Amino acid sequence: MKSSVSCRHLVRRTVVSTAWLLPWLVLSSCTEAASTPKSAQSKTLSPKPERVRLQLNWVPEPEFGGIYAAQVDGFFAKEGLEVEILKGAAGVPSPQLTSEGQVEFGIVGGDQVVVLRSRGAPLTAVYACFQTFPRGFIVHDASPVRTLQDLWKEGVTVAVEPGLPFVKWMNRTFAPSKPTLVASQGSLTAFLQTPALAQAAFVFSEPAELALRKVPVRTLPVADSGYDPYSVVVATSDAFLRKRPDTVRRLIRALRAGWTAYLADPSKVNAVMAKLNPGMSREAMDRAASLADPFVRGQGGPLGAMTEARWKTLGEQLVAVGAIEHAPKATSLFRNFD
Amino acid sequence: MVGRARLGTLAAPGLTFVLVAAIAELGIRLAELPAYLAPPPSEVVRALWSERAQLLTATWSTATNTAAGFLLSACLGVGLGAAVGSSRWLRRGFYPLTNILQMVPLVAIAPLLTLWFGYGSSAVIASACIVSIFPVIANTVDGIQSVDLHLRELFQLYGASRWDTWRKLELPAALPQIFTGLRIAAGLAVIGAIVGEFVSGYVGDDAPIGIVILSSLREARMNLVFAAIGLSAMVGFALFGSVSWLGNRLLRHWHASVRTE
Repeated sequence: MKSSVSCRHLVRRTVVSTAWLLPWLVLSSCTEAASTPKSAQSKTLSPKPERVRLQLNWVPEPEFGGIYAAQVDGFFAKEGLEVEILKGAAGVPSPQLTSEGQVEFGIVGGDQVVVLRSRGAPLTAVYACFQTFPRGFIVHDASPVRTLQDLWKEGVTVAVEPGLPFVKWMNRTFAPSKPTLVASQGSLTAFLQTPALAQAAFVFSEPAELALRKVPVRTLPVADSGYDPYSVVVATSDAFLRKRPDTVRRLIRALRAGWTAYLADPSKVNAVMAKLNPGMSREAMDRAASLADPFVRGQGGPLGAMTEARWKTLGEQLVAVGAIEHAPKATSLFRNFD
Repeated sequence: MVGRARLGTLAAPGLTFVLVAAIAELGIRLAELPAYLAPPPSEVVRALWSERAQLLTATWSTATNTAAGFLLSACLGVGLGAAVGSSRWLRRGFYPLTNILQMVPLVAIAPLLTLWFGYGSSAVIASACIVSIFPVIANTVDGIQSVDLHLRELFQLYGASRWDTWRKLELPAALPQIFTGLRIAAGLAVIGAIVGEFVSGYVGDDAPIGIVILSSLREARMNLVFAAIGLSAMVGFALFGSVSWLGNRLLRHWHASVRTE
């Protein structure tokens, strides 16, 4: 019996690796090379210090400031953890890598936890870096667009990453009005060249970068529309959570300390991240970090903690926009640690 | 006899495809793989049907832009290849530069295409053209250079003009290699179009296949991802088939590569 289970497990792993190849190849043709997850398979967790991997879903920027602070300031080490932070890029399937145990922890969107869970993936959120949804739209200061309602109209062109649920939410909220939506991979080049273009952005990140380039912009947070999920969520697989709850607890403690330190003084960590991501200057990171505080803290309470009510609301919203058919039970989506 | 041979030609890949799909279905079901990781082929077929309206629109958009990009690369490629193949100066000065086209990392320049051509079809067509033009140029040049020297001398002996030599000797002699280049370009054009769509496609109800793939990946709808990938392959296959058919029609009466006794 046991051998048939392990045989099935072996077949499963082999077929998963093969099945992933095709879409991964398609995506890899349009994205920068991401960290190779395969090496994660060969990891060994030694008791002291315990090694774990954390897969980011984007390049190092202030949205991950507290995570890097936990490493730079030694909070991970203090908790007996050796955390390897894997840089992300557009298209890195961080949620799937995490749910399938290819990495121990991954940064995912709150919506991705709900969507994947609804499709049966064993993925659980354990820490929400951002209590208030930090996504929004930027428009040039000279633009007549002043509100989300102005934005979501015929005649306006908005660059968005394909598949974002908040875009579907905007379509639903302001229906039947709809702007022209075009693809974006997060670069600001097209936005800089096109005064009439609006673009989805992190409300503190891109505006900070643009301010340094003396490009005045107006920011329209999506949270104002009523769509306010947890964002930059640290997630892990159910199996890892079940087997090593203490490791998760220690990681969360370190993250909380990291974010507290980063919000107090982000300069040292920003210097490290600027070296890892030459695409964003240290000055822009400092400015972005100064704007991030209210989004990280939200309405107060312990950093990173989540509530059942907000996960329930997100599930209902994703059903409403047609991203999923049935919302999973809210309590299955997250777990808080002291 | 010929009809039976044709049936066999069609049946062999069809049966192989069905066999591979059946093995995949069985393997995925036996391994109890979740559909968000590896959907069984039956789920992909289900997505093809349930999302047919979106997929039809997407396929049409990608197919038209791919065809336009391919036609552009065919015209430019044959024209440039003919010019380069016929002129020693151009061959020395220009041909090495065309190799750059082959080495250009499309991923890196695709966002620039959006800046130069704007969002939508123009950038996608340009992307498809850039990726697919090199094999057309290279094969045209090689085809023209491979013309039998004795025939060239014969044309010179009879005082044929440069134009007549090109029209009656070089172009017909190069056609088999030109069509080889075009067949390679047909597959590449689809790749170029999809990459172009990733960065400059419209993200609405009329989104092309590239955008459907990105959206479905975000939503972990892997059956739709594979359905879209399958359809993009079909676009390439249709283009490849059309070029092969045209090549056969033009060459079948005189060239050994496609002659049937």
